Parts: sequence; structure tokens; C-alpha cells
Amino acid sequence: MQVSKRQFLKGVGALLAGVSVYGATRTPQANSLLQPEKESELKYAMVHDENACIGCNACVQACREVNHIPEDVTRVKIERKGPFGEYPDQSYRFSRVSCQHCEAAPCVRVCPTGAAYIDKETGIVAVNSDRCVGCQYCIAACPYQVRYIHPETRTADKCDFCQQSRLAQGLQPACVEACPTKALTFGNLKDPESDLVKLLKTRPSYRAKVDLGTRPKLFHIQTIDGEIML
Amino acid sequence: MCQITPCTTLLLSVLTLGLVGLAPNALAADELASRSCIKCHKRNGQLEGIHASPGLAILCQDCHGPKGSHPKKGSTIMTFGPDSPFSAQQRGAVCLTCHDHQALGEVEWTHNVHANRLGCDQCHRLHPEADPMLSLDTQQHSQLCIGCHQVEQ
Repeated sequence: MQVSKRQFLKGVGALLAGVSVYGATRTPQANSLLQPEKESELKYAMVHDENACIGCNACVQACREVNHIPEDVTRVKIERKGPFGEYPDQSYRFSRVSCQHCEAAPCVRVCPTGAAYIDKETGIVAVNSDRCVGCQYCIAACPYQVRYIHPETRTADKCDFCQQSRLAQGLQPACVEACPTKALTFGNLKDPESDLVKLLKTRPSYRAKVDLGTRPKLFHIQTIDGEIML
Repeated sequence: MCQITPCTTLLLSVLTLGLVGLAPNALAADELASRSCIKCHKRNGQLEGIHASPGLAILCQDCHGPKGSHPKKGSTIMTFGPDSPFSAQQRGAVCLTCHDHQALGEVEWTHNVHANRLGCDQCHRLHPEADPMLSLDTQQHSQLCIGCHQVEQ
């Protein structure tokens, strides 16, 4: 069989193009689409005990440091309400605002490029910044308003439970480790022996905006003392 | 033309005495007392921060109370800091004679939650040039909370 120079070059060209396209699509999201559905043994979630929280913002600082978040944006906020009661016996209430890692994440549903995705392995809602074009659909869609455009990368960013920065090294998320009062508990919802599941089974908890059907995985343990707020 | 009667002369002389003579004497008595403190408290008595500004004219006894029998036994002089025999509330009450708790709470919410637990002197320093609490960045602010609130891991 005779192969002309032209035919040979065409063949090599096509092969190179094929390999490069295959390489480009080997992203976490593309992988999860190709592989058959298999239930993962991991489903990460977090509990914020609002009774233990003192509003010190150590979690915010730790997150900023570990994930290199610039000053004017943040992945996690502690919302403060108060003061309640009469001076000098006053108190405040604190609530964590960060990505809820929804099982039915509206941000993932609206993302036109597939940059926002749910990691099948861990249940973490993450952003593939290489794919993000900064269109801000996800920011508009998120009912919890926790997404922002990172001023340096110009792509959407939010809490990913320190997936890249700490979980990969077998460590807890930075905020959990930094909390001085152990108000944050992180763990696997599918492990009945985990501190997270034990805590959720012994203390009443709530999740924000469940009526939207987002099935969020950030749990809150409500403040016990004081009046009931409507 | 104005007429000077004996009555106005008397009035004028009383006014002059009051303005020139009496007032400085009354001030001087307080100031003298304050100066006598500095004779012993050369090192720890100097007030340099914002509380030393001349407009406030704060004297030692304004916060520390009258000298009484100090430094002898049975002294009731007000002291601050970790060695003070007074309760946090008593020490805080001295500051609250001038400072409004509501205004403090608006500037820094943590004032409210520590109002009946800590004395002002446990965080603030009045005598030095700069109060360390006024120059805290967000990180130092968090660390200050952690210093007391850390639970065992």
C-alpha cells in the first residue's frame, strides 16, 4: 500500500487534533458524564451551631488566607443580628452565609459552559474556572447570594469546602479548623458514625430556603436562648 | 455718660474677685493634688493618650478618686488592671461616667456582650500614647476573641 506524503500528513494532523480534543474534554465534568452512574460513598456537608458561634470572624480570615481571597470579596460571611435584651445583659445571633452545596443547585442548572458542576464523588458544588466565562448567570440564579466574580481571575467563585486547598491533603476545611468554639462541624452525611451525622441526629437543625427545592447541605443549629424571631 | 455709684463699684469688685481670684484658685487646688501624684508616680502616672488632651482637663483623681489615706493602709483609691481589688463592674462604672454605653455599642458591638463580664481595662489602655484597641486590624480583632473563647480541641 502506497501512502503519499499528503495522505500521511493529513493522517498525522487528524490524529493530533483528535488527541488534543480528547485531552481538553477530560475535565471533571466531562468525566462524570462519560462514566456510568455509581453512587459515591461520600457526601460532604457542614453544620453551623449558632449557639457556639461568637461572631469572631476567624473562619472568614482563615478562608481568605488559605484560598487567597482578596479583601473586597469573601466566600463566607457571618451575619450578625442584635443586640437582643437589655443592657448590660445583651446578646447577638450569628448565622453563616456561604455556599450551601445544594443537591439541586440552581447555579449548576443555569451555567451555559458547564463551569459550575456538582462533584459526583463528594457532592461538592464547585467551579471549573477554566471553563467559566464570567457571564454571571450563576450569581443571578443562586438564591443564597454567595457567588461573586473573583477580581483576579474574573471568573465565578464561592466556597468549595476547600476541595482543592485542604480536602485533597486530608485536612478539614480552613474555617472548621480555625473556629475557636467548634461551632462548625464538617463531615460525610453518608457515614452514620461521623460527628456530623451524630450532631444532626441529636440536635434540631434547619436549612435556609428549603421551600425552593434546592436541597442545601449547610445545616444550622438555631440559637436556643431569647425570643423566637419571625 | 455713665454714672458710677457705690453700688456698681461693689458689684464690679465682686465680679472681678470671682473671675480673676476665685476660679483659678479652685482649679489650682485640684491640679496641685494631681501634681502631687506625679511626684511618686513618675513612671506609671503619666497620661499620654487621648485622655490627656488639654480640652478634657482630666486629673488623676477624676478616675482614681480622692487620695484618702493612699499609700497607707485602708486606702480606697481606685485602681485598674489585673491586680485591681475592684470588680469589673466597679472599674467599668468609672469609664461610664463619661462614656455612653449605647454609643460604645454602636461603634463596636462586642462592647455590649461583655458589658457585665469584663472591665474596660481588660482590653483598653488609657495612659499610653496609643490604645492598642484602636489600631487593631480584622485579623488581630479575631485573635483577641480567640484568646479568651478558645475551647479545647
